[in-house]
Amino acid sequence: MNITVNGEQKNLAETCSVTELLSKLELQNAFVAVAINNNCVSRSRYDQTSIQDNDKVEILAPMAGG
Amino acid sequence: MSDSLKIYDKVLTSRLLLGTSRYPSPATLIDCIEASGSEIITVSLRRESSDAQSGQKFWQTIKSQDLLILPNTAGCYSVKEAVLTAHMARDLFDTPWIKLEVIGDDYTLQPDPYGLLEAAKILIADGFQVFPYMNDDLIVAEKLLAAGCKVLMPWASPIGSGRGVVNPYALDLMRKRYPEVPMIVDAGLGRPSDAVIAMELGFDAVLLNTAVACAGHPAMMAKAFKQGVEAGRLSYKALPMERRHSAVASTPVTGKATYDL
Repeated sequence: MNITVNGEQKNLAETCSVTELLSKLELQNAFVAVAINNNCVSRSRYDQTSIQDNDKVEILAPMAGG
Repeated sequence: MSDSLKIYDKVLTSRLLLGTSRYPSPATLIDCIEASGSEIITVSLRRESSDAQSGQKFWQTIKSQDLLILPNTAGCYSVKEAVLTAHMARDLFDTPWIKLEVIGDDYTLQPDPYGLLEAAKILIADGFQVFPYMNDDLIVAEKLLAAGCKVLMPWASPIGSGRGVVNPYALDLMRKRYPEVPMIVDAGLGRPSDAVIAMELGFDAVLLNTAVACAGHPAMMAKAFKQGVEAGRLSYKALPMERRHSAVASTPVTGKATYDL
């Protein structure tokens, strides 16, 4: 299935959870926030929330800001 | 004598909030935070990549500082974008605070007051404690307060312009109209003397970034701003004399010798 992560196309063999996606991206221990299709996914729901075909995923981290 | 500042449920001793962007190095950022005495720093949220993990590096730099984090919605031009970013910030930092920016113009980075108000209403209804980045319009202030904002953050001049307080009349009006509301002058300050002006107008604090980060000697400038904020605050509390149109001699005339020259 095809998904978009931070604006880039990714191909996944099968549906996975947010936790599994972060692991595939080597961000499993990262301090990040996740949104799927413009909805914020609470960290407590990463295991239960699955990524579907054509989902648009945003993974954000703290960055310098004024 | 204690002169603390309460913003939402936090009591602060520093009246200088510092942004974390545009510093020459992470070490300089830390030096500036320490020199400024700031207790609140602003941060943004940006896309994280597996390779660079730049967000993780940034977070490692600042998390050891034991500071209050004020996440922003910088770069958001729509209500939906700002609201989503605020939710992601709350999830990440576990804070109800959000520096709400809804930008209306590319060139001036002027806040969109209509979008700002709409986003503020949505977020406050959802339990957020909103710090609205706003212009100096009194009606916008009134509506944001009515929406439930407990602090206001009017600009001094456009973000990063360093132009200082361009409309002291408008800021003075806002300050005097709502004397009990904590108000932070955000954006546009360039020099410590600008901070003195803002604080002498009676504002409770200032928020800086570029003026410190882009100074020739950032940590030195952070210290100068700290002293400027303190001087302005002290001056405001000391009740400066009224300005006069004409001179008034400070040395008494009585007793002056009369010469037959």
